[in-house]
Amino acid sequence: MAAVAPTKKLRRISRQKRQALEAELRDWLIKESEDFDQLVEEGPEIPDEDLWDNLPEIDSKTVARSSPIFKKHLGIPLNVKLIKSGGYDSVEEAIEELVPKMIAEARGQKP
Amino acid sequence: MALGSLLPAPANIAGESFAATLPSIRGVDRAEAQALRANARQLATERCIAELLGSIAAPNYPLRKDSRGARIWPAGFVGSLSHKGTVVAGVIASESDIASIGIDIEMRDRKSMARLPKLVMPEIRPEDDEVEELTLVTFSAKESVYKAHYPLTGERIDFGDAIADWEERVTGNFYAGTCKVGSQSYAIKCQISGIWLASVATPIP
Repeated sequence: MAAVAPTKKLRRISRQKRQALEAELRDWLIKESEDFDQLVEEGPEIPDEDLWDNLPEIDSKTVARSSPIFKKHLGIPLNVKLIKSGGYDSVEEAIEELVPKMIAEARGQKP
Repeated sequence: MALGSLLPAPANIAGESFAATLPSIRGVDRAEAQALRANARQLATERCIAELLGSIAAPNYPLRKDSRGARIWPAGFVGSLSHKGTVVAGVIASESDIASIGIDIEMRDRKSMARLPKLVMPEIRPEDDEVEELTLVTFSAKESVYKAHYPLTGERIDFGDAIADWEERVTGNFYAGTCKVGSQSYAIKCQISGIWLASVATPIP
């Protein structure tokens, strides 16, 4: 009898695990914004231009820094190829875009 | 910003800080502020693109993006754009001078880069001197390499696909070196000016 290649078992990512990942990612991305509030509170001597420059944004650098969270929940670091060029307009957009793709990656599927 | 000094060949540069077009941020709701800045950035980017295209006598060229969001520059030209905070910058050059180009601007903010080295820049050792600055410089250079590599090869790369080797560091403000992506090498340069940092990547033939 010819040998049959075993079907590759895809790793299962539970709903709870997904929700835990999303929650921790959301909390972390929001916390990243807290420095800005502190900057504004530091006083009127901070020029407006500096504040506008430091207004938080979900850029590729910020998202890349979230990699340990993906590693913790999915067992693999964030695949930075998946980060949208130009970054994201909001925390939720980043989560909605990246989490499904990373889950697919963790399950061994093409995102 | 000394972007021009980083370019290896003739190139036209454009850009601005659009902070003056924005109102006082104090008292503005965070979401509204982000929307205001995003809108102002979009307009500044359009002005930058118009200036770059005007500099090559192609003011009406419809600069579109491909399916992956990369700009499609006029035939015979290469270009790159970057933005950070309230600054937008762009370059355009003849393909006969430079096969491809990528630029990136970053700002040295309060955020620690400590999470990045191990995961996306394995060539940086935690014990390296000034690892935070080296990480940011390398991150920016790799962003530039990514932007130069994609138009050249159609290939999207990961930070781990590009290995940087900084050969020169002058007065702590200028870095120069090479970055390998498979068999393709890129010349990378990075200039730090105050809290701002600019990097450029061009392929080595």
